[in-house]
Amino acid sequence: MKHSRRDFLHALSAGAAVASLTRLGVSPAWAQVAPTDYKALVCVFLFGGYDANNVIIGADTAGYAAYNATRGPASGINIAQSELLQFQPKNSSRVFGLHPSLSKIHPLFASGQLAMLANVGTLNAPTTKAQYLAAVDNPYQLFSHSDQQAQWQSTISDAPSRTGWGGRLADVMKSANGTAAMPVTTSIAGTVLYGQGTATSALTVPSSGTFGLSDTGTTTAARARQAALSALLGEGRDHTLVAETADGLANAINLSGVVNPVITAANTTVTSLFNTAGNSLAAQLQQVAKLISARDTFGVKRQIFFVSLGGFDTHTNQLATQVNLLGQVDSALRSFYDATVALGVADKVTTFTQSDFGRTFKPAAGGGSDHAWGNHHLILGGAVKGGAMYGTFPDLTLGGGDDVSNEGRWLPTTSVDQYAATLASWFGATPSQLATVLPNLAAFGVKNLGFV
Amino acid sequence: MRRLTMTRCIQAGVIAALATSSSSLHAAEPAATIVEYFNSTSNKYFISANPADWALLDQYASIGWKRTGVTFSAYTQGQDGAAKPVYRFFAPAVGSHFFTLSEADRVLLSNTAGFNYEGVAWYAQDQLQTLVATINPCATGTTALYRAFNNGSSAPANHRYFEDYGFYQSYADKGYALEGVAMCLPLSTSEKRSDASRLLYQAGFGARPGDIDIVVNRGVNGWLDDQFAATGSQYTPRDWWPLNRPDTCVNNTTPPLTDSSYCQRDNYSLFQPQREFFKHAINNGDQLRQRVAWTWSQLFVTSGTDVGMPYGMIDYQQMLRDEAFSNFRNLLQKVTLHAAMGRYLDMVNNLKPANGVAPNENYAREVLQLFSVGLYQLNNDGTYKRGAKGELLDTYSQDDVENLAHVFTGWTYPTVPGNTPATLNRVANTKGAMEERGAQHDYSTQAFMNGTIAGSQTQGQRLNAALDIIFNHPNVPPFVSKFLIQQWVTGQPSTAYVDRVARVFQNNGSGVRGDMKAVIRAVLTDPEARGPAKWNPTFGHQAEPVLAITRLARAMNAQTDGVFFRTTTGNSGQTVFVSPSVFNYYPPDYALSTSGVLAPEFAIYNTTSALNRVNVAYGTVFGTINPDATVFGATGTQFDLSAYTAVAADSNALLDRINDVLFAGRLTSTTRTKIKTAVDAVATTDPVARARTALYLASAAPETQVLR
Repeated sequence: MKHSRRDFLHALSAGAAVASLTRLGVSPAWAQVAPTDYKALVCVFLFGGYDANNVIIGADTAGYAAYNATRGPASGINIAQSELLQFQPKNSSRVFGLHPSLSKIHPLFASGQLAMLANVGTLNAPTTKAQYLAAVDNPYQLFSHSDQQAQWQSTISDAPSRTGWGGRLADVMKSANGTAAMPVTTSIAGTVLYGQGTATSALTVPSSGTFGLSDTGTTTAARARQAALSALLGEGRDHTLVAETADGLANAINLSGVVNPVITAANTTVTSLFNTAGNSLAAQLQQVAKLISARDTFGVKRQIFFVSLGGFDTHTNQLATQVNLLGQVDSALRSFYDATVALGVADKVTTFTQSDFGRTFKPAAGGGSDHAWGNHHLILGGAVKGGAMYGTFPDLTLGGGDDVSNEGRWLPTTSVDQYAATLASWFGATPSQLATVLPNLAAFGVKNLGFV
Repeated sequence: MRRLTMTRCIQAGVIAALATSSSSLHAAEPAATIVEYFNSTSNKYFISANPADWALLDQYASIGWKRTGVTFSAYTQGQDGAAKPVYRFFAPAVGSHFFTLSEADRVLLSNTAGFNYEGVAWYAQDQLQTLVATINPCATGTTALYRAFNNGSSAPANHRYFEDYGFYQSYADKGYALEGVAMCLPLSTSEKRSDASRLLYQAGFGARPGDIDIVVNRGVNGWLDDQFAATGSQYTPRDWWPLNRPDTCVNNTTPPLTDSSYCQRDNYSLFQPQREFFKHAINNGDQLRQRVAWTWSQLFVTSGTDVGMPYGMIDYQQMLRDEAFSNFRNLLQKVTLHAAMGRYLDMVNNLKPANGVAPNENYAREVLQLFSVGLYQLNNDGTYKRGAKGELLDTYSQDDVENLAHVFTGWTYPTVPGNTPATLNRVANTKGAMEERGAQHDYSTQAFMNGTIAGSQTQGQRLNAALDIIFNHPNVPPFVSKFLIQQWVTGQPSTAYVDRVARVFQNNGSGVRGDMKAVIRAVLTDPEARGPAKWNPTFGHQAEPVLAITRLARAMNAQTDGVFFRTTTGNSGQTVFVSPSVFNYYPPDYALSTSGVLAPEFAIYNTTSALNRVNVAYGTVFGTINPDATVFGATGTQFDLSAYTAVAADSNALLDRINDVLFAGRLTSTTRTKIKTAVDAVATTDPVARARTALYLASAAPETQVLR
């Protein structure tokens, strides 16, 4: 059965009903016990479609031979076996190797805070290669950046969605934060679908600098000006776009009072751990760590963060680009993990990667790779059941059972829904809430992959 | 329910107004204003040109009467030789008024039970019989007043009248019958000025105080003719420069400053082209060409993320200016072969299949998805075609992408001046067009979309054949037309508007497809873009960060070297020439999560950018912008606020000027009051501070951040 639009709309309306109940001060039964612990999810989105085929590589003889058959030294995108940072998943007999630029997080695998999820991707339902080729129920616009980004962020692959799974998770978890003005979701990476809920939206803060109005004068004229700006936010609201513009500004002004002191504070506990020079992701995660450190000030028990790094669309010159970008990811993730340790919340914060799609295992002209599908991802944190690889590593044969083309486009064996469900369950979503947050989850048998 | 009693005194009102109007040999300034009211209790609209009616209705907010904000202009008796009286009838049974300039209607209704004749409401012209089949069949200087009728099936029977054609059309979806043109009304000087002010932000980077007179005097088509003919602004060209910085190329801070002192900055960042972009946009008169080129740069995206060498980016952006008004097919050719695009989307040194390496699919995919046809098959009005089960229909397949990638093989970097052409030029050179290398071209015959690219053709012919197939695809006219409308006029155009422009794209009237001058004129002169104020609550779009700041700078009559402005938009999500990806700063299909309204610019509107937009306005208006000592020839930024300071002692006069330039005539009385209060908190002895206060608040107001 095609699981889709109708069920999704049904789920959405359930979410909306819950939201309106909470607005009236009536909490549904499942939400009446507010959590006392703190938890945060941090989504690290690698824009462009990062090539995990060169991030997690078979390192034993058979594994590397399978890699080398297509991505040998002549391919232009080969990583030598000797350069791999080896790791042995405790749930596998195989040995793998990490990309050599991930040396800072590599030890966290052995010490148990880092896990891998192999060959995960957008799916409407469990799909065989034959079903894919017959176009039985494929996600729309596979291989298109914008569409696959939206599907990873929404978990909905059968029709465009206006909400993301982070936002919908925030909708159902909002009551955990009581009357806090601070939204559940914060993006340090601009407006994103991921953080858009039905009843909640993300706060967006910059990765550096201040967050507030510049006009802070105290003269009579300045105060009159500030009062006028405030009043102007109430004008012209019969126009949809004017009202939307005013609401965004009003929301920003309201929250700047609590947020700005936190992000402008020195906070050397956090900042001493980060090297943000030339590393936008590190600057963003440093900001996340600062915001987490102020969780009691904000009065929040559940937070969802979104950060990102772009440039992973490595059609050409992949080797050098990945060294640069993965080096930034490595440094930023390690600093952030260390910051959660320093803040005493290492087991309260789970960080995970997402990306548009994987890339063709077969190289493309110019030392790169093209758009593909299933991909491998990283999950990091003290609560993570690390040192293991979850999911199923694909057979790397071009045109083989896991390749839906002849270029090495892996058919995902785990869905984004399952990936998200595992994280959302840890975050505290109940099974019934999961059905709201992840309307397509019912299509998949396993609802918890067990990595956290 | 209380019903208003109105008598023939309305005629007295119209005649009284006449006494104050001056007669002129030229088109008379319309002396009557028609004000629209809505009654929220009875759900009915009512219009009147009679000040006595207004006075009465303004007292009856308690029973639901409220001004909608919509006004029209009309003639009074004897003011215009071609004008006829408009008769007003009242139908007590339905509590609704009816207006007609038809003598036959007057005779008929006067003898029909249930209609009371109430007199002459105002004077208007009849439509021109020669133009009756057109959207606006009215003589120059007048505009159509359309009438829609709700027959009472879903709300009380009532007419509503419109000058805004798009708004009128949208009433078909509300169950109204669209009854056509009721009469032709004159446009007042202030309505014409408002339209000119809007044109200057739709077709340029905003109005300087003196620009509005120019547009009013030339008329819209005359202004467009001037703009098409204007000499284009030129980026200062830069020579090729090595991708790896020589150790000698540094930023030399030791005086004297020369134009090569900042070798590293000026050759390894987009500092200079970004600066010149703002300098030209704010200072120069070729507004339309620059704005169109800026729009092309957001369709045919290249970005400093991969094309960071300014000599190449300048060459690419100048090409977009040079080709701004040419044929779309020509643009597609120039864009496809430009080395900056070649580098950005990896068509450069894309080789025929060999050694287990496939041709690079990047350019092949994005030229289809983003530059020309889009993902799904379109009707000519921009709506999706649907299959038998209601499903969307793909425009192309993965096979099309792979086959096109084969056709796009064999192009290499332009040979660096002084070098010998190599088998493949590996030295990056993003200036100029890529060169053919037939030995690296895959000559195999390729099926592509609805055609075939034969192996017997030359490499160049094969590329042309592929681009011809793309150019002639039926999606291109609606895809490109809708994009242009969204960039310049409204994020959510009506399907009819898209269809009208797309038809011009198909055929400029002389059988030419893709004539961009004709398409640009069609977008900007369409009845949904031009004429009286637009009232659809979803019409328009938010000013993107670049346009928001150039509007303010031009309103402040700035002269700038551009240095200050190049850093004003990055924190709002729009660093010029550094789009985060080929998907531009914001996508054309972004919809508000709350309402589903298409609102592309809101993809980069969030709490961070919301604050930054206002803070940039504050810094611009109240800050001091000195010349940058590291920039050779720096002149800084100067503002000439004399248009405002001259009248700043009178806050209402000041706000009239602000209304003209920044509000395009849409300043409401309540918004005026709020800004006026802040202006009046500044002493009249400080006209500069009063002007700055008004400019800052006007620029920060959500009502001017949205362009409509």
